[in-house]
Parts: sequence; structure tokens; C-alpha cells
Amino acid sequence: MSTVISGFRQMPSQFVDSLDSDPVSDESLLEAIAEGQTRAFELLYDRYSPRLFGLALKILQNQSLAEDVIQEVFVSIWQKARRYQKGRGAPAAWLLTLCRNRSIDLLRSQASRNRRTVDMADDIQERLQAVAQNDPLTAVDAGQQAENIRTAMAQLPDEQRQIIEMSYFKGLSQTEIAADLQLPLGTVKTRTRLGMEKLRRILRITDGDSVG
Amino acid sequence: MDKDRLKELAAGYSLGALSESDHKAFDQLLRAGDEEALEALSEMMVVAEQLPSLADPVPPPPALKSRILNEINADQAPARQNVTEMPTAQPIEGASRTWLWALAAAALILACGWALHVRSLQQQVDMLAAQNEINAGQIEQLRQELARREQTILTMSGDNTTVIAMAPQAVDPDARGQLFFDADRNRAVFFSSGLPDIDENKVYQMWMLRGAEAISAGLIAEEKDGEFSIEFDTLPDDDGLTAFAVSLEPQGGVPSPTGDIYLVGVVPSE
Repeated sequence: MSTVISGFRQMPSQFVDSLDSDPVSDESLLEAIAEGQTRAFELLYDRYSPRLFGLALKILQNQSLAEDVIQEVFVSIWQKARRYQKGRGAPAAWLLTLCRNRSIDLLRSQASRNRRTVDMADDIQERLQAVAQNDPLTAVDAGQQAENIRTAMAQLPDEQRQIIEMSYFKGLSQTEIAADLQLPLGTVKTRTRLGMEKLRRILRITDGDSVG
Repeated sequence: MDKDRLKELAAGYSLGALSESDHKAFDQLLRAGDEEALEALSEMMVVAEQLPSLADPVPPPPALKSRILNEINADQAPARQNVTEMPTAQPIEGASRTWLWALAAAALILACGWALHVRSLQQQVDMLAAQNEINAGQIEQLRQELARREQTILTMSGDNTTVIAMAPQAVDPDARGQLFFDADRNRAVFFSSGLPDIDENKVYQMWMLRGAEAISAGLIAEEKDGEFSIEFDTLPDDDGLTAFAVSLEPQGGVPSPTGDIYLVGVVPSE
């Protein structure tokens, strides 16, 4: 006979167990959210809303629109937490991608441009994750990551940094960037590749320093 | 495909910046399971996933959290219809050992839930304090709430706390609730999400029963839609306390019960 009172939802056992080993992992929070735990949802919100809101603000440059995005993203997390699968990447990356994609969609809809965000098919995402799991850069914690990426971006030549920022934070396609900067499309593609490769090299060195 | 060309496509793809035709071409390679394409993309994605960290974290306005919580609470309402059955009215001392263990487990789960809630409130307090625009009244309100929740946890997790299932009565067999009675501290806390909606001119009232005497423990507040709770001091001398009961009374409460009794929980004998 069950004695559970309705309205007071149970937590997954691993979630309860993890209370003794602070902090509760993101994965456990998402599992609890998938089971309808509003407390877990609040914890996830407190943990990530400043990063997501900062990202949405940087992309949209508008407080009200950024709030709308955060509301959409977190309601979506509440409704779709079951869709998050372990082994498909860090929850933080998933949340930030949701936030970035929704912000770019909104930005582009305001500018009457077509949608162009990275929505990968599930099978590609899974294979990609299998390849990425051995990458040392995936193991860097968020605080260190922020410092590393800032340092790395500061070392890029201006023309490469500018193109990467226009792509990522303004949601512009390479064709649009070429038109904006009055550059040949091939130059934009090459600078994107060189910039991303250089970032990777610097991050690997920095990561090696920070991880030891 | 030329390696540089492959990396160009992977870099643009990871940033969501490829033209339609380039995107399609690279997507086909990925779908075909091209190992080099996957590896190139993986290398670029790891970098692209770090780019959000270039944005400084900014705490969103506190009101946003309330807005979101309101929306998800409205969203989860249908799920509440899937509830478990409460036991029929009977004294605790007649229950099986399994039943008692299950009650203890439920108590532990509830206590953990409250602990998480307290932690969440603490985080909110810290965040609010860090914001210049925060209103000092809000901080004080949260602190009081935090202190109240901590008191609730103490009551729920006391060494001598008894968990009492509040059994439904004939007026509403679906009503349900649970009461934590800490005899050491003479304190009790009651929760229910199964009491029916009531008119504005009515209120649920908690009673402590000592023999034939009913002593009011206070009016039960509705915390949010359909969820009721009350925390109260029990009698200084609880020797004669036999049961707790919930009745429906006129707004403002009454000195003695006059309305229908919805829930009764028997205090187990020593």
C-alpha cells in the first residue's frame, strides 16, 4: 500500500542520495525535472539563468526580448527534460545551445531573415558526442572555460575574431558576413576556419596549463 | 574532399553560418557517417560550445523566475490527477509494519524535498542580495520564509516526530493530507493537496482533539492552487491529545467545529 501524498512528488533515489554530496549534478536535476520536480527546476534555474540571460542579452541587446527567451527556454526545459539523454553531451551545452538558438531565431525574425541555427539530427549528435568524449577540452569546468575562451579570443587577429562573433552572436551566415564586410565569400570561409583552428590550439594549450 | 575544405565546412557548420548549399553538402557527409567530417566537426563544436562563455553572466530580474514558475505550475496541474490512494480511516496502531516503513520513507522524501526547497531559497537570497536594484523588503521577506522553512524541517525531522496520515471522511473520500507531529517540540505541520476547492466565505480549520474537547489549532492557508498547509504549536501537555481533524468552517474560523469534518488523523498511543 502506498502512503505517498498527492502533490508532493517523489524524487529519484539518486537525487535524494546526492543531497549529501553537494552539489547536485545537472543530470540529476534534469532527471528530477523530467519527473515533475519543481524544486529541481528552481535549482537548475538558479544555477544557469545568469549565464543564459547574459548570453541572450549579448545576442539580442534587449532586456525584454532576453527575458522572453529565458522564459521560453526554461518552460521548454520543463516540458522537454525527458528528451535530454545522458551521453549526448553536457547539460550546460544543451541549455546554452537552446538559449543561443532561440535568441538567434528571434533576432533573425526581427530582421526578417531566415532561420539558420545549428539543429543537428539526433543520430549525428550521438555520433558527434562519441567522437567528442575523448576530447580534453570537453572536461574543462565552466569557470575555467570562460577565462580560457576570453584569453583565446583576445589572441585572435581582429578580422578572424570579428567574423566568429558575427556568426555566433549575430547569427549571420557567411554569405551575409561577406556582404556586410565587403569581402569575398572565400575569404570569410578561410578566416572562419583559421580563427576556429587557432582558438582550438590556444584552448588546448591553456587547458593543458590549467589542468596540469 | 580536401582537408582544408572539410574544416572550413565544419567551422561554418559549428557556428550555424554556412550557406544553404554548403550546409546541405556537409550534412550529407555527416549522415553518410563520414569519419573525417565527424572528427572535423567534433573539433570545431568543442570550441563553438565554449563561445557562450564570452557573454558575462547577468542575473535576470527576480520577477522573471516567478513568472516562469507560475507558467510551469499551471502546466503541471493535469499531472496531479494521477494520485495514489489514501488508506481508509483507521487508527495508526492497527497498521502493518510495511505501512509504517512506507510512512517513514514518505517522511524522509518529504523532508528532503523541503531541504531542497530551503537550499533553493538560500540561493535566491544570495542572488537577490547581490543585485543593486533589489528591494530590501524582498530580502527580509525571503529570510523570514527561509527561517520558517527551516523550522518546518526541524518539525518534520525530529527524533520523536510521528507521521500521521489524515484519513478522508464520508463528506469527501478523495480528501487526503499528512501531519508531522513533533512531541518533543510540541509542534506540528500539516500538508494537503487533496482538499476540495472552497468558496471565498469558507476556510479549512485544524483541530486538536483531547477526548471530547476540540481545540482550534488555526486556519489552514492555501499556499497555491489546491495545496494547503499549516504549522502550529500543539498543546504544552500532549498526554491527552488523541487526534487531529480538519473541518470546513465560515471565513475567520470558529471556536468549536460546526462544519463537515474532511480529515481525521489519530495520534498513536505510546
